[in-house]
Amino acid sequence: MTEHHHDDSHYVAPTIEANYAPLRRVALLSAVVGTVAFLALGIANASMNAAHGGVRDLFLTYQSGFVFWSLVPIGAMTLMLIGYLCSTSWALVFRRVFQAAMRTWPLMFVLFLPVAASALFMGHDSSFWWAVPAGEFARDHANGDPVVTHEVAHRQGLYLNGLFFLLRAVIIFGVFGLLMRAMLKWAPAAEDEGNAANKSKLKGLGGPGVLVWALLFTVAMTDWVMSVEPAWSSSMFPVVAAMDCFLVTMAFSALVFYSLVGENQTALTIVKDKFRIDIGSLMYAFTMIWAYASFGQYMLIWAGNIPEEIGYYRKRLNGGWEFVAYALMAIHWLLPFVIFLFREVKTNPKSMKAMSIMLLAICATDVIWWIVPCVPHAEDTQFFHLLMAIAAIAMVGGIWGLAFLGQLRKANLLPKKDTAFLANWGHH
Amino acid sequence: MATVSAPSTVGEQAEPEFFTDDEHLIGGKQNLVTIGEKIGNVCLGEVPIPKGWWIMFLSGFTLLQALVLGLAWLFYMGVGVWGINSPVFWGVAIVNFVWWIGIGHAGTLISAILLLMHQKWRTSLNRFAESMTLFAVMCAGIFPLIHMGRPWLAYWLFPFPNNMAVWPQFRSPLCWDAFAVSTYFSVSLLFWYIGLIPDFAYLRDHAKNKIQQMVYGMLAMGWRGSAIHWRRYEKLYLILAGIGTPLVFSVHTIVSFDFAVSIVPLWHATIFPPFFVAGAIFAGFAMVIWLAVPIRHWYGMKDLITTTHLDVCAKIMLGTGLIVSYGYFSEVWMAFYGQSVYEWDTTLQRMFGPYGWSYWLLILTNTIIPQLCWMKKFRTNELLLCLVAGSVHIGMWFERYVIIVTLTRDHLPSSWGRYAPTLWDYAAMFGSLGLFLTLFALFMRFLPMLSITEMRELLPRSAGGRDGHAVMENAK
Repeated sequence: MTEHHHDDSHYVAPTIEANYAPLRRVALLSAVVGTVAFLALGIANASMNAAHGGVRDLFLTYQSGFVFWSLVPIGAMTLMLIGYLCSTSWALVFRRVFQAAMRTWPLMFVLFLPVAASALFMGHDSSFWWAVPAGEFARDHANGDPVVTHEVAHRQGLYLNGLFFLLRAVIIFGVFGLLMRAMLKWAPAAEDEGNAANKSKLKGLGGPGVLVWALLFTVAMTDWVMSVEPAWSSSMFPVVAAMDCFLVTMAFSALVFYSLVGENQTALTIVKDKFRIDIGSLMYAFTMIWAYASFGQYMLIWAGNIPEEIGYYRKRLNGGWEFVAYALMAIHWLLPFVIFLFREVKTNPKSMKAMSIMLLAICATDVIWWIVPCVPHAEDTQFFHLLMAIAAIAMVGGIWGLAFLGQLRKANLLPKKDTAFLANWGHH
Repeated sequence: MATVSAPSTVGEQAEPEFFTDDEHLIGGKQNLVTIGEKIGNVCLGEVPIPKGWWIMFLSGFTLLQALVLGLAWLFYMGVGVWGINSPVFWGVAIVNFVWWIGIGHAGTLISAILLLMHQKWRTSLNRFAESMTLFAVMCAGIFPLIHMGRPWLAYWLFPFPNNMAVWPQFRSPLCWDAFAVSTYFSVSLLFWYIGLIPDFAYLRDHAKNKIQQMVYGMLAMGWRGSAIHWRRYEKLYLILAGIGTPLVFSVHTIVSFDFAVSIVPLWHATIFPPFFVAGAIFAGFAMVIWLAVPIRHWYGMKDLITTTHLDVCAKIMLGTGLIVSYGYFSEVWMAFYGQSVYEWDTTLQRMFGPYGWSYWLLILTNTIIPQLCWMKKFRTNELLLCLVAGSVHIGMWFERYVIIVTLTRDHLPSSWGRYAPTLWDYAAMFGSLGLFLTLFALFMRFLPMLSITEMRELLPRSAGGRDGHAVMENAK
C-alpha cells in the first residue's frame, strides 16, 4: 500500500544478467537419461510381464510424468491470475517464470497424446480400467457378475468413455489455453509500458479465471488421476491435487529464479528479504494445506471404511507403497513444517534452492503414489515400477524443461515497469 | 524486545499533531487524543446512548426471555417437545450449534491470522469481532448441552477418574467437539482479555467517577504502560495469535467431522473439513459487516471503520462464498462421477425431494446473491452490503438445515419420514439470537468497541503511533 509514496512512473528495471546454460544442461541430461531409462525399464518390464500388464505399466508410469509436469503450466496460470487479482509481490518476482511456463501449453498437449492414446486405443493395456469393455472387466474382476457388467457399462455410457474423455481434455486444454493467451497478450504493454487499460483487463480476468480453473481442474484431476482407480471418488482429492499444483509451481519457480539470479546483487537488492520471506511462507502454507487435506481425506475414508473407498488406501499402504506414504508424511509435511519456520531459510537463495528441489521430488513422488499403485503389482516389482515412474518424470521434465528454458530466456527476468513495486517497497 | 517507544495510555501526553491517512484505514484528521476519546468516551458514559442501541438491547433482551422460557419447558418436559423423531434425531439444535460456531470464526481469523499476516486493516475490526466470537461460541455451546436430554450430565464428556469406570468415547467427534470448542473459547477469551488490558488502563486513567475507576482499575491488573509491560504484552499477544491460528481451522474441521465420519450419504464427504472452514469464515464476515455498520452509525465511527474496511470484508465474504459454492459443486460432481446409487439418489432427493425448496433457497442465498459483491457499489454501500450479508446468514443456516433433512430419506425407503421443528425449537433458536444481541449491546456500552491501543499504533510514527507494525515488528 505504501507505494503511493513513491513516484513509479519513471522507473525502469535493470537488466538481470542470467546464465541459462547450467539449467539447459540439466534439462538436456534429464531428457536423455530419462528417455533411455524409461524405454529400457519399460521394454524390460513389458517383455518380462507381457501377459501381466507390461505395456499398461508403460502408459501408467508415463501418465504420472505427464500429470506431474502439467501441474506447472496450470499452476503458473492460476497463480498468475491470483497475482493479478490480488496484486501480490510473489507473482511479480516469478512473473517471467510463470509466463514462460504458460507458453509451453501447446507442448503439454502433445505430451498428453500418449495418455489420450491409452484411453482410446489400448484396451486391456490401457492405464484406465474403464477402457476395457464392461463384460470383459466383469469377467476379469468379478467372475462375470452381471451386476458389475451393468454398473461398469452404466458408468462408461455416462462419463468414462474414450471419446468423451478426449472431448473433455480438448475443452480443458482449449479453455486454459485461451486464458493463458489472453494474459500473455495483455501482459507486455501492462508490465513493460505501464498501460493502464491492459492492467485493468488483467485484473478483471483474475476472478473469473480462477473460477474457471477451479471447475476445470476438478474435471482434469478426476479424469487424469482419479479415474485410474475403479470405484473410488473423493471430493477432497482435487484440493490435495491443487495444493501439489501450487507447491510444484512455486518450488519450480523458486529453483529456476534463484538458480539464475544466484549471487546477482542487482536482482537481490530488488527482491528483498521481505519478498523472499513471502515466497517461502506461501510455500509453507501450501505444504500445510496439503497435509490438512491429505490427512482429512485419509481419516474420513479410514473411519468410513466402506468398500468403494477404502481400496484406494489399501493399495497404497501395502506391498511396499507404505514406505512412500511414510516418506510423504516426513518430507511433504514434517520437514518443511519445521524448516520453513526459520526466516533465514526463506531469505537465503541457496537454502531455498535446496528446499525447492526437495519439495519438487516429494511432490513428484506424491503424483506417482496417486497413479501407479492403482493396479496391484507383485510386491517384489513395486520398486521397479517406482523407478519407471521416476524415469518418466525425468523424461517428460527434460523435454518440457528445454522448451520452457527456450521461452524464459527471451525476456529480462524482471518486467520493466511493474518491478517498481518491488524496488520501492518492502524495506521494513 | 520492545525497541520502539510505546504510545502512552494517557492520551494528553501525546503531541497534538493531526494525521490524515492515505491508505483510507483511518478517516478524518486523527491523533492519539482523538482516537482515545472517540472510543473511550462511549464506555465512560460521555456519549449519549443512541436510540439504536436501545432498540438492539431491548429486542435482544425480549428474545432472551424466549430462550429462558424455551429452556425451562425443555428441562421440565424433555427433548420430546422438539420436533426431533425417527429418522431425524439431529434437528434444528445442531443447525443452530454449527451456525453459531461458524459465525465465531471470523473473529479469530481477524485477530490472529491477519495479525500474523501484517494486515493493518484488521485493527479497526479485531476487538468487536473477537467479542462476536465469544458471544457466538456461548450461543453455540448451549445447543449440544440442551440436546443431551440430561444436560446435568454434560461433564461426562470430559475424561475424569470415576468409580463407574466410565470414559468418553474418544473415537467420536462429538467428544472431540467438547475439547475443540472449550479450547477455542478459552483461547479466544484470553486473547480478547489480554488485548483489553492497556485499554482498561486508559479507561481507569480517564474514569469520571469512583466506580469506573475501581472496576476498570481492577480489570487493568495494575497496568502502568512501562517498557517491560509492553514487552510482555506484545510477546504474549503474538504467542496467543500463534495458538489461535490453528484453532480457526481445527474447530470447524472437527465440527465437520460430526457429519463426515458417518456413512450417511452426502454426510460422508471428504471435502467437508475445508468446506466447513470456508463456510465459517463466510458467515463470520457477514456478521462482522452486520455489526460494523451499526457501530459506524450509532457512535459516529465512520472515521475509524471506513468504507475500505467494508470493501475488504465484502471481498473476503465473496472469496470464501465462492469456496463454499465450489463445495456444493464438488458434492454433486462426486455423487455423479462416483455413481454410488445411495449418493446419487440422495443428491436427487436433496434437489427435488420434499425439502428441495431449502436446497434451492440455499443456492440462491449463498451462491447467487453474494455474487453481487463483484460490483464495488455492493461492497461499499452499507444498506446493499447488509442485505447481501443477511442473505448469507439465511444461506448458512439453510446449509446446515439441508444437511440434517437429508436424514429424512436414508438408505431404506421404509424408514423415510419427515421433520418439522416445533415452537420450542424456534424459541431456543431465536432466544439464542436474543442472548447474542444482549451481550453485544452490553459490550458496546461498557467495553471499548475498537482497540484504543492498536488504533493508536496504526498512526504514523510522526504522530506518536507505530505505522501499525507494533507487535510483529518488535517480535523480530
